[in-house]
Amino acid sequence: MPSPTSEQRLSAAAAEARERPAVVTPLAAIADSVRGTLAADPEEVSSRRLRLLDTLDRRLTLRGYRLEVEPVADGSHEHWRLVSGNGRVRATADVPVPTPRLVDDLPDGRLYRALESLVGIRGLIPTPWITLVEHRAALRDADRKIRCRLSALSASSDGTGDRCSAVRVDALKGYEADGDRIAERIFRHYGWSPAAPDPVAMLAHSLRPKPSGTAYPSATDPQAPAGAALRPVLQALLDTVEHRAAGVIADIDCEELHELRVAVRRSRSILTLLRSGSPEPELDRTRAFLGWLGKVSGPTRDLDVHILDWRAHRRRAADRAVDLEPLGRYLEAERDKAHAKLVDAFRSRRFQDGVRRWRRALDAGDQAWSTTDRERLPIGKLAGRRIRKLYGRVVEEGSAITAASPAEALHALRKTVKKLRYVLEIVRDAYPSKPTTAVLATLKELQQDLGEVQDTAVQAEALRRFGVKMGRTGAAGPATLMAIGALAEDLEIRRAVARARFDAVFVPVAKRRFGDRLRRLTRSKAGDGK
Amino acid sequence: MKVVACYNIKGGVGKTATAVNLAFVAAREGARVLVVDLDPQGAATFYFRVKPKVKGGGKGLVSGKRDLDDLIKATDHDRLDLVPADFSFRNLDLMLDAEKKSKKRLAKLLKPLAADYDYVVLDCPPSVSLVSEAVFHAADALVVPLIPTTLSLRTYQQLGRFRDEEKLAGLRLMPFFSMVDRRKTMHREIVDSFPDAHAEALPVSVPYSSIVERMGTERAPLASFAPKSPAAAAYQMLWAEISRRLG
Repeated sequence: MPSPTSEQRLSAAAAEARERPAVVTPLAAIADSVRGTLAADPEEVSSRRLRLLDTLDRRLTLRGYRLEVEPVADGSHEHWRLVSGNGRVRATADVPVPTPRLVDDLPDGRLYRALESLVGIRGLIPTPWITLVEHRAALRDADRKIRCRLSALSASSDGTGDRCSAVRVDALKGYEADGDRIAERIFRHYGWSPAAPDPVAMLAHSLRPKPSGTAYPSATDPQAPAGAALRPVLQALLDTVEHRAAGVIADIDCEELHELRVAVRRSRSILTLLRSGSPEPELDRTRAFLGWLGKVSGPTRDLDVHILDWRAHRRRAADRAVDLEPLGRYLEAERDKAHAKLVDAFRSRRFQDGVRRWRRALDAGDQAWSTTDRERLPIGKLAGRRIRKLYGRVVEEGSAITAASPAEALHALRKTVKKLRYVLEIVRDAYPSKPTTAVLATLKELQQDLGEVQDTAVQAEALRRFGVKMGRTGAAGPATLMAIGALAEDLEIRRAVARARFDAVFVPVAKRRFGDRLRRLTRSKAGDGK
Repeated sequence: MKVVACYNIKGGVGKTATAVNLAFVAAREGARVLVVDLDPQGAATFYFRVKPKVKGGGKGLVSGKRDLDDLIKATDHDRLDLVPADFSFRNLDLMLDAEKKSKKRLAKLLKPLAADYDYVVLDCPPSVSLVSEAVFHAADALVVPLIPTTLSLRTYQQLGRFRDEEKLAGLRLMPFFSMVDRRKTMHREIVDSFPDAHAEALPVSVPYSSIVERMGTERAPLASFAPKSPAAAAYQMLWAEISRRLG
C-alpha cells in the first residue's frame, strides 16, 4: 500500500484533532505522570498571534514551507518569516503595512529571493489570525541536563473558532532513547501521537482547503468509450471554469484567469476531438459559449501579461524604474477597465446560462455521451489518431519554416503544437507515464519558444501603441516614452533570441525517433490506437 | 560550514570560555553550531552539563570506526550541539600517529557534517602536538585568546612561525586579548600597542571578570545567565567580528 502523502496525513490529523477535546490535560500533569526518574521543570507558557500566507494553490505548503506573519507592536510593520519543513527559518523581513499581495512588491533581500523562486507571480493570501498558545516543560537528569522537552500546543483561529492541539515530545540529539520512552508513555496514557503534525499546519489546512477544480484532468482508461471517458474530464474543467471565475471576480491572483482560460481551451480541444459530421445543437452551443469566454477574457489576460512583464523589467532595469512608473499606472488603469468588463461578463446571464446548460449536458449520464461514432470509439484510439494527424502537421509546418518565413507561419505552427499538446494531455494518464512525460516536455519546449517569438512581438507592438496613446494624452513625458522604447527594444531582443533558437527546439520534435516514439505510444496496448 | 578553533599553546588563557561563549552567541543568532571538545579535561563538556564520555573513546573516533555524528549530544540551547570530551583524548596524539594522513584526519571526520552545521567550534587542548596540527588543517580560523603579558605574546609569535613552517597560509589567525585588567599598566600598554604590529588582531578585548568564573557553577554560557555583563557583551562583539571575517 502506498504511504500517505503529507496532504493525506494533514487531513487525517485535522479530522482526528476535531474529535479531540479543545483543552488538553495540563502539561505539568502529563510531565509528572511520564517523567520516570527525570525531573520536570516548572511549566512555561507563551502565546503569539500569527497568520499564514500562501498562494491559492498552496504552493508554499505543498513544498513544505510556511510563511508566518506576526504583527509588530506599533502596527506600522509586520514581521514575515519563511520557515522550512524542518523548522529552520530560511529568511525574515519586516514589511511595512499595508503589506504587499505580490512577492514582486517586497523589498529586495533574502526573503524576496527565497519567495520569488517558490511563489513566482502568484498572489499571497492570508489566513485569519491564529492564536498559538504553547506550554513547555523540560525534563532533566541528575546533572540538571535537559534530556527531552515536552510541549502542548493549541492553535485557534480568530474568525472561525477552529482549534487544533497537539502534545509533542522533542527528543534531543544523543538522547533519543529518553524521548522515545516519554513519547511512548504519553501515547499510552493520553493517546497523543508523537507523529501528529504541527497544530498550526493542521489549522491552516482546514482554514485553506485544497482549491477545487483542476486545469489538467486526464482520461485514465484507454479502452473506455471516448464520450464516457471525456465527460468527467470536461466536468472537472467546468469546475475549474466556475471556481476560477469566482477567483477572477475577487481579483486575488492573476493566475486564476490564466487557469480559467487554459480550462476553456482544453474543453474546446476535447469538443473538437468529439466533433462528428452531423449537427450537434447542444455541443455547438457550448463551443460558441467557450469561444465567447475565450474572447471576453483575452484583453484582461493580455494586460495581466503586460503588467507582469513591466514588473519584471522594472526590477531588472532599476535605473529606469522611475521613468516606467507612468506606464505601470497606465497599464493598471487599462487592466482595471478590462477587468470590470470581464466581471460584468462573468456575472451576466449569458455566463450563468452557459455554465448551467453545459453542466446539465455533462450531468446527463454516459448514455447521452455515446450517441455518435466518435463518442463510442475507445478514447485511446480516437486520441491516438488525432495525435498522429496533428504531429504530421507539426512536422510539415515546422519543416517549411526558414529564416525568411513570416511571423504568421510560426504563429500557425504554435497553434498546431498547442493543439497536439492539449490532446496528448487529455489522455496523458491513459498512456505509459514515462514516455508521455518525455514527449510532452519536448513539445512544451518548442511551444514555449514559439510562444516567446509571438508574445514578445505582440507585446512590443502593444507597448508602442500604449506609448503613442500616453504621449497624446500627456500621460507620459519624454523620459517615460524613452523607457517604453527601451522596454519594447528589450522585447525585440528576446524575440530575436527565441527566433534564433527555433531550429534547436524544433529538430528534436521533427526527428524520426520522436515520431516513432509518439506512434508507438499512441498505438501501444495502453493507447490501443490502431 | 566554517571551522573555528579556539587555540593557544599556553593554558589558562580562556580558550574554553571563548569556545563556549562564541558558540552560544552564534547559535542564538540563528546559526547551527557544533562544539567539539578536544581537551581531555572536558571543561566545555562540563559547562554544557554533558557526561564526558564518548562511545568507543578517542580510538573509535580517530580510526573512523564511529561516525562523529553518532557522538553528538544536543546541549540545552537551541541549535547548539556538542561532541563531548573523553578522558582517553589525552592519548589522541598517539592515536592519530597510528593513522595514515594523521594531520588531515580531523578535517576528514568533520566533512560529513557540512550540511548539518554552519559553524564548528573546536575547543583545543594547550600544547603543540599532532592534535594541534590536525586542528590547523581542519580549521578556517584560529581564534587565539591572549593574556596581555610578555610570555603570552611570545607564544603567539611561536604560533605564527609554526603556521608559516607548516605552509598553512590559508589558516587565518585571529588573536584577541582576554582576562584584560585595564587597571594594570602593562595590560593597557600591550592591548593598545599590539594591533600596530598585528593587523589581524580582533578589535575586541574580553575584560577580566569573576562572572566568567561563574560559568563553572552555573554550568552554562555567560549570556544565558548574565546577558548584560560586560564580558558577555565582549563575546557578542567578538563573534560579530569573527563571523564578518569568515564571510
